[in-house]
Amino acid sequence: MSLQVAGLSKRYGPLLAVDDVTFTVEDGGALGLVGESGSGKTTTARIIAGLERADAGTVMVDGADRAGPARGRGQRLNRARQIQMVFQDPYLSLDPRLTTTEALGEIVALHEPGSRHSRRHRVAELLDQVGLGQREAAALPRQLSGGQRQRVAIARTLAARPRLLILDEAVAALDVSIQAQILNLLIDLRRQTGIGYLFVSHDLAVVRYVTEQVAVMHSGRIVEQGATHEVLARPQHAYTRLLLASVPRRGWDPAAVSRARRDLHDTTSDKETV
Amino acid sequence: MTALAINNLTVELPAVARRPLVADVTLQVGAGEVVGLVGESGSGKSVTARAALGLFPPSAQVTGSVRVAGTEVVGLTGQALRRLRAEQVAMVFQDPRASINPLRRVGDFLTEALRANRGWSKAKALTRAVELLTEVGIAQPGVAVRKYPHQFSGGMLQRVMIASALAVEPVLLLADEPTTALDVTTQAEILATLLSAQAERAMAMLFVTHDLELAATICDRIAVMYAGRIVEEQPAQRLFDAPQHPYTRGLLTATPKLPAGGDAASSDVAPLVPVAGRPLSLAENPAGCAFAPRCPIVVDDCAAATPVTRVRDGASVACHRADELIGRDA
Amino acid sequence: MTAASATPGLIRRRVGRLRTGALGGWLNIVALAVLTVFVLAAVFADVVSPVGPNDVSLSDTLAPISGEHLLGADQSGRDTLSRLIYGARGSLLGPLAVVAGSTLLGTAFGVWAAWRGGVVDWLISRSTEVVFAFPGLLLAILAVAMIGPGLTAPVVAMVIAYTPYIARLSRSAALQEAAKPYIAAYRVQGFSSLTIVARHLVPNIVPLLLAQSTLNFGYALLDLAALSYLGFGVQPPTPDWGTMIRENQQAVLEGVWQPSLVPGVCIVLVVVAFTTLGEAIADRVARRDVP
Repeated sequence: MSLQVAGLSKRYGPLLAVDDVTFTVEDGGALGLVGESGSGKTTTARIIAGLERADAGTVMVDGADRAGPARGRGQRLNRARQIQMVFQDPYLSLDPRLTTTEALGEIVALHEPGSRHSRRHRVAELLDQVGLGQREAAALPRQLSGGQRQRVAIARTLAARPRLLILDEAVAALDVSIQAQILNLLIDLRRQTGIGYLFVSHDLAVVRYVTEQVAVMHSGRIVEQGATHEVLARPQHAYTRLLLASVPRRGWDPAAVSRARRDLHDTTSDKETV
Repeated sequence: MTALAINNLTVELPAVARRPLVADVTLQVGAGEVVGLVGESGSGKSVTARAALGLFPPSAQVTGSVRVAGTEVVGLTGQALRRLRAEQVAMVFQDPRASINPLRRVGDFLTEALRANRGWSKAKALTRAVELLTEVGIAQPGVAVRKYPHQFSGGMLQRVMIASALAVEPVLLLADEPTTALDVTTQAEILATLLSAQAERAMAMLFVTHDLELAATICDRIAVMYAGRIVEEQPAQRLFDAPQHPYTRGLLTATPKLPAGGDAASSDVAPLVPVAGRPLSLAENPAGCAFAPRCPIVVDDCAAATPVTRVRDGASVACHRADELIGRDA
Repeated sequence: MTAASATPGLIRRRVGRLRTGALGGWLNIVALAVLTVFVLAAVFADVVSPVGPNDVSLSDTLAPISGEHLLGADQSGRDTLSRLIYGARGSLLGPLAVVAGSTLLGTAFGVWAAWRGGVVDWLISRSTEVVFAFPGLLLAILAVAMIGPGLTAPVVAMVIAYTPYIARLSRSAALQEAAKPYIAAYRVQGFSSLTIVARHLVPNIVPLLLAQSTLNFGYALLDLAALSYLGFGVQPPTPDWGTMIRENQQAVLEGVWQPSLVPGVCIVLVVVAFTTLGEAIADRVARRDVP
């Protein structure tokens, strides 16, 4: 199942949040959508997931456009099995009243009704897939750590057996030691199931571990796209270069980066005036 | 004189937490020095930093000593505490929008402390506010003082917060994740602003962050905290070259990195090595080393006793296996 | 959330607990006890009441407190305690109906407005404002004119008057809840709007609505008593606290206070008890939201 996004645009009042965005995620491929806050990356992801409506453009999956509202239960479920989404904040992305098992069971019942036994079996399989044990299965969200909650959120999306997973800053809120666990889980899941990823992130270093392709967004537009290692090694656009230079590392000079940023903003429109 | 001297600080909250929020922390920040306090959620780094402001969680039990420019802060109340915050210590918080009254103009926000604490006239305070805004890189400061917080971007507002901290002329500046809520490209500007202000005044700075790579680039010395304790403290460069504590090593291998020069063109990416398990919650208080359940080199001793901090060649490490580790290459 | 946020959350939680410490717990128990006594009295009025509420004994007109009349007797020589006990039925059932009706309607309208947005939201929000602006008293008079005197008319009027408060509260709570990613996750999963709202959104705002409804019970009791006092509610000779105050206000002028004052004190007790409990629940809800 490949995802083809073409000419996507979305305006909020005077702000053109998404401006003629076009990209493709191949079947089982992984594309990083990188940008800062206000770049339009999250709005793009939400349009593809069906949470927002685009003003213009198409979101094609296997030749069918899914940009319009879903008609009927059948189409709703069908779209759910195409694309699922993991959100940034593990504290708000789970219903606080439901235990892990209840949350997963409900979605299994929606997508694969069957017998009680088969449902229970599927929930156990999902828990196993994301590395959660008995204790976590019986726990409410508030009894789980951030990393464990994000595992629950991932298991919940897998319940629909989607072909593509949108990960919207899915590791940004996690501690470093936990972030690496979740990144490795995502890499393993993809290897095992052949699922595709649209990995939305502000962090180029993180994107490098999960994706082969990357698209860099700035002010609603894609300014550069290509193979991840190519873009990281030989960034063509000034904004990509600034983004790369902004990542702290040895010998990093914040003053030099801020000068580069001012130069870039002098040439493009400056959103951040006082 | 040492700007900040924390000795054996322990902060407990018996009603809420089974383990101390901060346990037996000792840390110094000298004049003109930038010290990084690095740790993950619940490591106690923010509680430690706030202690320098005399800011403890309500009903916390505090033992040990926190001295700012020689003045004992623990137990300080009323007028003396206000004077400490008005003249000695200032803090820049993670979320600038949550730390400023949205209904007041930026100029009023900046001048009110100067007028109240120093008895300055309105005109004199305003002149100073404009000077400070210029220093932190706000264009047209004369216009900016008449604006409201919502008219500023997050990065610009954080500059205003830095200006208000500098207005105190502090001996010690506490920066608690000052760039975490900001965009990546804004981060560099805020750090450049903070560092140049710090260098110009030879001010002491305690920089609290979860980002070890970031701390290493801007700090002279780094203390790494885990579950309320400082597990390792070293000069920044050496911490990177030769991390001693298994937790520090784990953090370094778990951090996603951009390709260095040589492997840039290759599409192969060496996998990340996560730290196993999960952080200790406040409800857990196991005997022995708090990191033992996650430690790759754990031995039987680890669960038996809390490791003592050993100092050698300017590095201090709290690990039962420190003797084997110190001096060994990372 | 990243690193730094864990500690402030913890601090806030602690502050919350201190504020409603031992004293708060003690007050809540008293409030609950007061309400239990009144509810039991109302339910078992036939058993606990010394005499019938309308048993007239002219020789006992304005009798003082005595062994025979524990709380005295009124102008017509009816036993105040007995009238009080029977009166508790209507005085408590009325507000209960108001709270149940306004909570159901208000939640339905508020959540509907929040979920659908657009025109639906605009219509509901504007109607809410109109009802807000409408004097409750006028509403009650209109209801009496249409339905006739008795308990029903003021209850209907108060349901209409209280619904906008619940609608406004549940709309803002539902908006806040709907913006949380777990609701978005259910939408991406393919659940229908009705399922998401009924199974996930509404249950998560119930504690907040419960707090408001508990407070409203006290206010509704006060309002209904006032309407009875004005003669728009329960009609004599049916016992009702508001009516009792009116029936006996002449006696107050003659220096006999208890037949009028006693139902007044009962109203105050019940209202304060409900307000106390409502605040306690609201406090808990506020603390629950701290991560």
